[in-house]
Amino acid sequence: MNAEPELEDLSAYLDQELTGTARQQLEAHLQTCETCRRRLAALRQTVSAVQALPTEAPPRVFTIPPQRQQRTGAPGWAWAGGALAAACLLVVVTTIGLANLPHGGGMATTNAPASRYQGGADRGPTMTVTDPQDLSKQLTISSGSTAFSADQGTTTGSQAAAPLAASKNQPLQVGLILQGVPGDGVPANLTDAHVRLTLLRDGYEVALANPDTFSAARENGAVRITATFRVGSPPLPSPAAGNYVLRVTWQVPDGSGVSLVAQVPVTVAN
Amino acid sequence: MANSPIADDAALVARAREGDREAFTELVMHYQVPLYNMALRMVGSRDDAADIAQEAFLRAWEKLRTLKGNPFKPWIFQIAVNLCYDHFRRRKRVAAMPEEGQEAHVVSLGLPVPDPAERAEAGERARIVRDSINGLDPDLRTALILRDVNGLAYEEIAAVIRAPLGTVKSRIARARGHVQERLLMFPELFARPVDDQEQQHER
Ligand SMILES: [Zn+2]
Repeated sequence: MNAEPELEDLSAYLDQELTGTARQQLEAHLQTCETCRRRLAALRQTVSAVQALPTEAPPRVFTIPPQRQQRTGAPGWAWAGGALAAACLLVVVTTIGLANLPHGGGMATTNAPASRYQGGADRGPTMTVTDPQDLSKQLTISSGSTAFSADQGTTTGSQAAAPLAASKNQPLQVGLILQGVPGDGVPANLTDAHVRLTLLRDGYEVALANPDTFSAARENGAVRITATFRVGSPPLPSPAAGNYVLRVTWQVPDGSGVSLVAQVPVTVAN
Repeated sequence: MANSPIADDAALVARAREGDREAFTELVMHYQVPLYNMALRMVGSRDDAADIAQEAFLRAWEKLRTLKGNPFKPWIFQIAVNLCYDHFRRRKRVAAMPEEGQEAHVVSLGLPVPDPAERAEAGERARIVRDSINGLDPDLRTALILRDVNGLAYEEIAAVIRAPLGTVKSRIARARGHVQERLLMFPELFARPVDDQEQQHER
């Protein structure tokens, strides 16, 4: 090939979409032309940068409402969370009440629709994420309530909707379900479960210390964990009151290097 | 997704055409993450992307009979891409909206979780890449996203956008060229590659 290869050819070559003579000619040219090797490397790096954009989980469950028939053009449709009978098995992500965080002071208190997770700690928001590469791996987090007091005995006048009376002894209850843990072992603590819990606000991150109480059990191939924390004990930023995100990171113990992350809102009141 | 062979799709489509909602739900399961992410990179807003994905599945369900024996994958992508174009027209602007509420609803799926400093840099890189994609005109953007976000083959992309292979090839290349120009404006985040990196791949 005497002429310099076009960008098009280099690009198609990267995609294995250049065939036959064109491919052979390009490869021969690359052997002798350092400039084109650099062009190709730069292009490859650009492609990698685009491919590195994170794959995000859809914020809703996509469903076809029962009234939507094939062939009919019935106007108007609505989101139908949990309308499918089998929705609980099909949930990739159920995000409840996260939309207002962390901007507003108001907290959503909706419960998860069609959730099969009816543990003791799911009166507050719940979120489930599934590893898209391995649907058997699933992580659920729920919090016992959404509002707590950071200091002693102050009532939460501005948090009228808070389901619990605030006091320094009010525990933050966290429920976790780790679906797809091989074997039948029961973790003795969070570390053992490959789980990390953090509180976040505006990029400020506090790892939660050892819980006050920890219990774990096996049920239907899942590990269920309930843990409680004193909200007053972690070193919260000052002022402590505000909207936080309680985030769980689970390093899936199957050697894949995959971590699942789920989070729910938590309000700390004065 | 790579693990959804066309034969499986065809069997599910056949059942769904008989009104089997469960079969269609399986198709939704297969395609919801790629379709949502395609729409997200096209329009930039999570809410709008979710609306587009939902509407695409509804339309697909209702019009399944018109699919005949054609493959489902390019068809569902085509429906969603058209909805993205409708979205642009409604907005009367082509530029994508910035993604809002990053920390609030970001969910990392299937990704290693780096330390905070790495995460900040990765976040900045991702923002610049998103901006570069948003700067592309819709035709180039579509080709790039279908290729580099969704990993579709050129033939599949040609079926989605109903254009010849040569057009696909040219749009992908031009889109990458534009993105590359933008990224090179941030050498501290996107270092120029060295030659041996490429040789290693080639041998
Ligand atoms: Zn050359």
